[in-house]
Amino acid sequence: MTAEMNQNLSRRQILTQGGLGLGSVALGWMLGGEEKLLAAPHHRPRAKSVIWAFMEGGPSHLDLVDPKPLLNKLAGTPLPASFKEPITAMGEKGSPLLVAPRTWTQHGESGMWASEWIPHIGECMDDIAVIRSCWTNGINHSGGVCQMNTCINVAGRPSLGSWIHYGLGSANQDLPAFVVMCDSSGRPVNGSRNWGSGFMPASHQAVRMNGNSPEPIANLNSPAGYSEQQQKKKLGLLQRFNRDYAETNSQQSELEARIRSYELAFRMQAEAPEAVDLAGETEATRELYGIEQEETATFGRNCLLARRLVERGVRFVQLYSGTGSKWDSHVGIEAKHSGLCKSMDKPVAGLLKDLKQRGLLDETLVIWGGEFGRTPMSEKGDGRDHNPTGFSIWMAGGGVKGGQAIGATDELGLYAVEDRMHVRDIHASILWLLGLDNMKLSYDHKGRLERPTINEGSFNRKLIGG
Amino acid sequence: MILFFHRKVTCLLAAGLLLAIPGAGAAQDPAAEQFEQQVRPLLVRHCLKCHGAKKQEGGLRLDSREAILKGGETGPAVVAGKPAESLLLEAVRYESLEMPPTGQLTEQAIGQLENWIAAGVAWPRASQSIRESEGGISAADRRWWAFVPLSKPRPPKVRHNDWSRNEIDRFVLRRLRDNQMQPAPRADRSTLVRRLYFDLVGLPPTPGEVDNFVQQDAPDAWEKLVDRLLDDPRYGEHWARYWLDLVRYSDSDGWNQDAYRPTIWRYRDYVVRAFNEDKPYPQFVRQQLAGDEIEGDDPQHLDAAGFLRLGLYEYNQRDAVGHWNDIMNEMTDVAGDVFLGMSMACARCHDHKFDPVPQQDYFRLRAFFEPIIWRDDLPAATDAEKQQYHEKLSAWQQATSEIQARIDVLLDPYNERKWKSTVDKFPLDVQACFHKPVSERSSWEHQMAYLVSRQFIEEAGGPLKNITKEDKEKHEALLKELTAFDHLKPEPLPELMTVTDFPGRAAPTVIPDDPDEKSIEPGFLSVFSNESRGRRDRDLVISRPAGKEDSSGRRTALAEWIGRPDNPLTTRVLVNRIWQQHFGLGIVPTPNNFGKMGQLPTHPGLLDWLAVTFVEDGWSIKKLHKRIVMSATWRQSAHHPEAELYQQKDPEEVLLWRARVHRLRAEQIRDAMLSVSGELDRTLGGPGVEASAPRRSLYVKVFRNTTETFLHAFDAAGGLKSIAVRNTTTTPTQSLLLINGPYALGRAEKMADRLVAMKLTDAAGLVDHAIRLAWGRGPTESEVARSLMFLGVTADQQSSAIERQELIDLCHILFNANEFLYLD
Repeated sequence: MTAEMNQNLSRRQILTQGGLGLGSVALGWMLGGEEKLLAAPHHRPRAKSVIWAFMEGGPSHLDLVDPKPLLNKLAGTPLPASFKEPITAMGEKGSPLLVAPRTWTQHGESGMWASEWIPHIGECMDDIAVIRSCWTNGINHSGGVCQMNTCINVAGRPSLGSWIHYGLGSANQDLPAFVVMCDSSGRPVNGSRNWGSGFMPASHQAVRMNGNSPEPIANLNSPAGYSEQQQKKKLGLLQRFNRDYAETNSQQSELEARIRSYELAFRMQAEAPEAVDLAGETEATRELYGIEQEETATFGRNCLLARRLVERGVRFVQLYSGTGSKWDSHVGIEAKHSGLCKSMDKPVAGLLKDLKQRGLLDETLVIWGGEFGRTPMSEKGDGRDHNPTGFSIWMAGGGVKGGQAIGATDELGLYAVEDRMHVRDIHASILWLLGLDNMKLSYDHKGRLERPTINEGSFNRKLIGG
Repeated sequence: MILFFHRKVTCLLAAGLLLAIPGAGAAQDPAAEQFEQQVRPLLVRHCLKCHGAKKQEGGLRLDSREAILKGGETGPAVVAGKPAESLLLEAVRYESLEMPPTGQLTEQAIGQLENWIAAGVAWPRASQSIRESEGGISAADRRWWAFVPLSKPRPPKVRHNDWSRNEIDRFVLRRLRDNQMQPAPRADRSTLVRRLYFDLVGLPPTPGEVDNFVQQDAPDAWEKLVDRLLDDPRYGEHWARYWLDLVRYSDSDGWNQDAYRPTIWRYRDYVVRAFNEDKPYPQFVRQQLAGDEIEGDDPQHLDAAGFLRLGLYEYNQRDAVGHWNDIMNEMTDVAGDVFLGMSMACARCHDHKFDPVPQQDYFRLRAFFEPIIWRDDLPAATDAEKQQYHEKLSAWQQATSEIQARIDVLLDPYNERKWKSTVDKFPLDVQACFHKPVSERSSWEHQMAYLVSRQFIEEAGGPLKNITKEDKEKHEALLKELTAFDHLKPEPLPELMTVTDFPGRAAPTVIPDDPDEKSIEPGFLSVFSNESRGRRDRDLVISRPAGKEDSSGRRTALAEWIGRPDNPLTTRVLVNRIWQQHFGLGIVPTPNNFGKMGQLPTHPGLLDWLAVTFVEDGWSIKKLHKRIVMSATWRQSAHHPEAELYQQKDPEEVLLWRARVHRLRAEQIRDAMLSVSGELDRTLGGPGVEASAPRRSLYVKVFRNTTETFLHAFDAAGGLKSIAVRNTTTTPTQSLLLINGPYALGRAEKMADRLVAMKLTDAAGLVDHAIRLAWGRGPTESEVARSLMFLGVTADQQSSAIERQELIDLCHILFNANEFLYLD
């Protein structure tokens, strides 16, 4: 199995890299059936696809899923001397601890804690594993978001979605395998390099979709004013020219590939609008995601679209919440966080419930989290600074055992202390759930075998109850 | 059909691997991959300390296939194909000997060993030993092909050879004949002229230029055309782009803010000039690595040293220590990639696993750069210009001193506040650097202070962001008063981004986590030092450069070593890069990795011959180009009568039996559209432009976070990493962009307007000209017929009978066609 798999992977490498870029067939996210023949997981996959709700800017674990009674007790006093003072992004030194005035409730059979800011997600706690001991390197948004996507804070490596696309290929011929949607037309920190393919061919990068637009993918529609008939006529001429050229240059696989790329583009023109058309969804479903309420409509739509996409075989969907660092709450955290929680709580919970009722949750890994958490110390009086040294993310579905908390931060939620999980471990775990081994998945770049978690990181078996 | 097509490609490639034509890299062999990924790391980590080059417990070595099969005192360690009979497996299972004694391997690891033994003990390049990670440099290391001195092999004699045009061809033909193959016939003249234009100047020839060459039969017509194009300033614009990919050139900072760097284009223009002037390579290297240490006041040397400013920078990073460390390391990585063709980055954290690059070497290379500080205060001006400027400036300052004093009084509180808040945000050790007097600082401390100071200006809107309305009005009034003296004020000198050494103490270079914090001195790769003669770092002389005595001279020493004619890496790496751009594949197919994980040269003799000849030619890149494009090898057709058979023999076409059909690069596609539509603005150089400007793509601003849609879609480099070989993708995104996107359609409209303005009389003539413009050749009869039918006209109808929209659509399709996008 292992040897066979390696063979498959190396064939994939040849296909995408053969001839070092020339005479090679680097067909990206449209390969579908053929690519599946070539790609294979390393072990039995638990999840087929991933939906990652990315709270951009850094949500406060202390106010959502990691209650710290001592924090409220010591609120107003400086960080006790027994805690090492971290380098903070905004550089405030000696600021007092900030109270987290939350109402905490234990939910479900597991009795997992969630605050009043996420009542709907609270209802799903029995399906959720909260990892309370995450840590990362970058103290700023740029490095943090880059790392949560690419495993390292410095730009230039492929995003996790690209690795997964590379490792598993696409399961739908007519849709991109890796899709990103944002909850506003804004630009997330770092822009499109968050979902770029780094040193891999661009065919592994994500396609940004906008489900609220009549053109959900850039350049999907014929130019304004063109009738279908006109477009067909143009394409007819193009394919004639290209066939003639290919005939005189037989055995040039790239020419054939480009002819196909036009055919595939037009299959997608037919398929993508259907995938993003919510007309067929019932009232009950729309209500579940909060699409009818103003504050949840945008993120709710994206969550519902994400479900429709994974149903159609899309491998990796990333949903930005608070696009453009809106979760960042250096000042006035109460107002900022409560509004953002409202916009995402019901949609995310709706997604979990909907996947579950359709029997899709078992094969869909849902991830919730940001690039880091927030400090127990205050900033500017009523805000919290970035905390890369200890924070929470959670996972549900895709083989994850719900109703458990993994790891712990210290008594104030500043440093991860127990069962610490670096971003590398988080990525290794996501890959593992998809059937990929973070040390076996490799890509030959400049003669060096690059691996998705940079040769470190391991799967935390507690995620599957081990 | 689709499936068939794909499977076929896979089979052909796989067949190629089995045939394993010598010289074609076999790095993708699955058994080799299993060894590299599983077995090699296992042996290195758990076995070699006691069973390697240094120690052989029980007489056993486990660092080569031969040694493993031979075994030690208790007999062979492994019997190939027979795990049950292999002592090694018994030992790791703790069934007899318990190995490794420090703790049993995981079940998975044992399983991997078992599989490896069962599958026959694959060992890529069977003669090689694996490196023990702490090991020194062995004689075998020094014998690695890329490290041995250059020889000048004699071009092979090939009998009955009327094909060859120059020595290149004799090397190529020899290998073809050895494999019972023949080169392809020469390409026809219109194919050649289009290929040559794109290859040398990156733009298509005009129909007139094509005719000019095609209709000539003078024997030296080709050579004259080559000379003319090498003299064309567009040559430098085209070839600079390859270098800019390598040095990860970008016009922006990266990180989140990704601020525009308004002056870094001076470095880009320097590179264009260097190619156009055919600057000897050692000079080119030295100016980039140590331009600031060159005597005299030529500002282009500082522009060139902008090379050392091309890395990322984060405008609000408070972890200044980590930030600078990352910047220095990345600079070291890039220097290794670009100039040495060695992937050094592995050795940053540990001795290189495959190449003889100990961790020390990485930091020895970094130590050359250690005294660097960033300079934004050195203008692009000669000493005389600077003097003149300062004279004028001081006159202006004197005349305005009273107003300036009032401005200072007004703004001082704001500046003070901002200074305090800026400095306070940094960790205390960094604050200490800032407060230290310059004379007492080390280079590192000075750079820390620089990083703090920059945030005073750039972060949070600068000092005047919260100025009161009243003070703002006062400030504006004072500035207005100042304008009365504008006639005295000199034009500001052009700014640039560059570096110098810190004149004071150079900070030590220390390997992270070294408990002794031993200072690492600059030094070249150990593999080139000759310890047997008791001399390390042969010829490393570091002295303060003449005329720039404030500088350490470290980087000049590095540049001089790189530029030595007998440096075995430099010339091989460079000629390989040039070759690669002409043929699409290097003689060494991994141009940034000449180490053991890279691929071997396909024509080692040719590589050395080219390298030595290059030096003899005065390190002239233009002469190298000429030698290549004058060769019969380069002038082959893409068609070969035996293509089907040859593809099975040599699927990667490393033996050069025909020309490769390949897609144009992103810039070539965009530039060609602008050229064909008649819009191209041929202005040379200057600040970056928006993508909407009809300038060559070289000049379109490259932002690291916001890639330009069109260029990015066609795999342009993003400025984040050194790119030696661009990926070439074929994606539906590209098709959608070309057929639906606004850019190609916009160019098609302009092309249609251009055709109409030519007032060609009949429709057939117009179609003929359109195809000549776009594809660089005359159309076939059927192409004309199809186009006319598409336009809804007959051949003899007036061209004015063609609807404008139909004509635009035809032009648009010509741009989408493979004939436009590919070169054959």
